Order: sequence, then structure tokens, then C-alpha cells
Amino acid sequence: MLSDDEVVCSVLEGTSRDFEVLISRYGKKIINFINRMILDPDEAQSIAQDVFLRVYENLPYYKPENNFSAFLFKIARNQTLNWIKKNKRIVFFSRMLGKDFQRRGFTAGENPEHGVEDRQRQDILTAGLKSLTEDQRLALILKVYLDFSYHQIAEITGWSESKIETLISRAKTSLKKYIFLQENQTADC
Amino acid sequence: MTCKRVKRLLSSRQDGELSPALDEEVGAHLERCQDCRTELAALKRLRLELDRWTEIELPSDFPDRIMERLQPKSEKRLGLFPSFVYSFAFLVVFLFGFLLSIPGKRQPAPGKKIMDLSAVLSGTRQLGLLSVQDQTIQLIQAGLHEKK
Repeated sequence: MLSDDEVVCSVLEGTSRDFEVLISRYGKKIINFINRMILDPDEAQSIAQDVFLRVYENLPYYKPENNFSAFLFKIARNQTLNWIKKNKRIVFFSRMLGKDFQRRGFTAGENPEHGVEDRQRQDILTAGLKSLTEDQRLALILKVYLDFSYHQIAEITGWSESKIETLISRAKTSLKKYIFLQENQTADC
Repeated sequence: MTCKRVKRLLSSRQDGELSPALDEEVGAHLERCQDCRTELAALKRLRLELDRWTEIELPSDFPDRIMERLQPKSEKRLGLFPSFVYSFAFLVVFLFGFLLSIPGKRQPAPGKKIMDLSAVLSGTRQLGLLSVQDQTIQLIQAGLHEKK
């Protein structure tokens, strides 16, 4: 199997079809990363497409000594944060109108075979993640779901490793409190 | 090592980010501290909860959709120039045409300068630049008439 850098070289040398290898390799990770950030699977797919187009355009600037994965997720992170910024007003107004705009994120991503209890747990987890700050959520997702080291997260985000450590630790503390509190309340009912 | 410090390090330890020496020190503390072990157990439970989150599958046509959008771009890259080159070329042609539309270079006699200005303004009028120019031309012509 060709390495990421070998595929990039091939694309830059004119075999643009080889870019499909990178899409197949990272597509699922990128979609799930974006979905976990914005909690909207349909939009996540659309943003993911834009991410890959942006990656393709920026391939000439990719330096092989850097990690391709970090290069890719840096673009994904920027595109996602741009989307969040643009859509903050929409979410705000939809909440004012009483519509749970982000509810779509929970339902579309769930497996119909899962039982009611599983769905409840996912709802609690998603609500808990929503309660985090964007920075905390980003750091936690990059660590927990993508298994990046603090060093790699620093490359993607431009933050210091100590900041990342603090963000993740606080995210976990908040989530623990939130999830276990919700579970206790559900059990009391 | 105090419990406060250990609890602060537990998250990094779970993420595999502690140095071996620090990891060992925290491990030794955990062996003798029930409170910190409870904290560690809570973190492990949280991790299990996080792992429950189902993933979206990659739609089978996802790569094709992107490759379709890429195709025109790669063709453009191969054969032609970036779009700004066309804009620049258009601007050059436009300016060249504009300069040609101005009456040719005549060495103006000292008294003829006003006439040339009038001709330039008439030329620009054809391009519909400013309605003020009409009034300017009229004023110039009126001035010349008075001189005569």
C-alpha cells in the first residue's frame, strides 16, 4: 500500500485519480470528526467534500516532512470552525423559535437497531458534548476519536501542549459531571 | 505526590501522555489511594461512554462526488491559465483600445491645448463615463467661442 506522501506525489505529478485513495482512506474519519463538532451528519458530509477540495487545491503547499494527517485535519478544523461561526446565528434564532436545530445530529447518526436505552445514552453524551466549549470539544475529539497525540493536536490547532492538556482535562471533568448527573436523574425517574 | 496533583495528571495518564517516570509515580500513588482510584474509575467509565458514540459510515458515492467536482479544475490546470491572467489580458486590451480611441499624437501649438482636452473628453463621453463631461465640453466650447 502506498504511503500518504507517495499518493500526494503521484497526484502532484499529474495522476489526479490517485486523490481518490486519500478520500477513501480519510473520508470516514473526516466526516465523523466534523459531525462530532457540529452534530449534523448531512452538513458534515457537505463540509467534508469542501475539505477535500481545499486539500486538493493546497497539495502543492504540503511539505512531505510534515504529517499528511495533520495537514488534512488542520484544513478540516478550519472549515468546520468557519461553518460554526457562520451558522451560530441560525442556531441561535432556531433556538429562540423553539426548534432544536441540532437535534438532527442525534437522530441521523444513530443506528435503528439500537435500543431505547442506547439512544438515551447517546442523547446524554451528545448533550454533554454540546455543553463543552468549542475548544474543549475540538481537543477532546482529536484525542479520543482520532487518537492524535498532544503534539499532533498542537500542530493542527496551533495551541501549546499544556493548553491542550488543560482543555482535555477540563472537558473530561465537565462531561463526567454532566453524564453521571443525567444518569442519576434518569435512574431516579 | 498529593492527591490534587495526581487527579490533575490522571487525564494525561489516560491519554498516554505522561513521561515514564511520572507515570510510575502516579501509579504508585494510585496503589495506596482509594480516592484517586475512584477518580480513575470514573475517567475509565467516561471513556467507555465516549466509545459508544456510533460512527457515520462513508457514503459509497462520496469519493466519486468529490472527484467529479475536481475534474474540471484539473483540466483547467493542465491546459490553460489561472483566471487572473484572463482578467489582466482583458484589462490590457481594454486600455489599449481606449488609448487608440484618443486622437493621435499631435504636437500641440501653445494655444491648442484646450482643443485637445475637449477631444479627450469627447472620446471618453463615448464610453459613458460621466455626464459631467458634456457640461465641461460645453463650457470649453463656450470659452473658445468667446475668445474668437
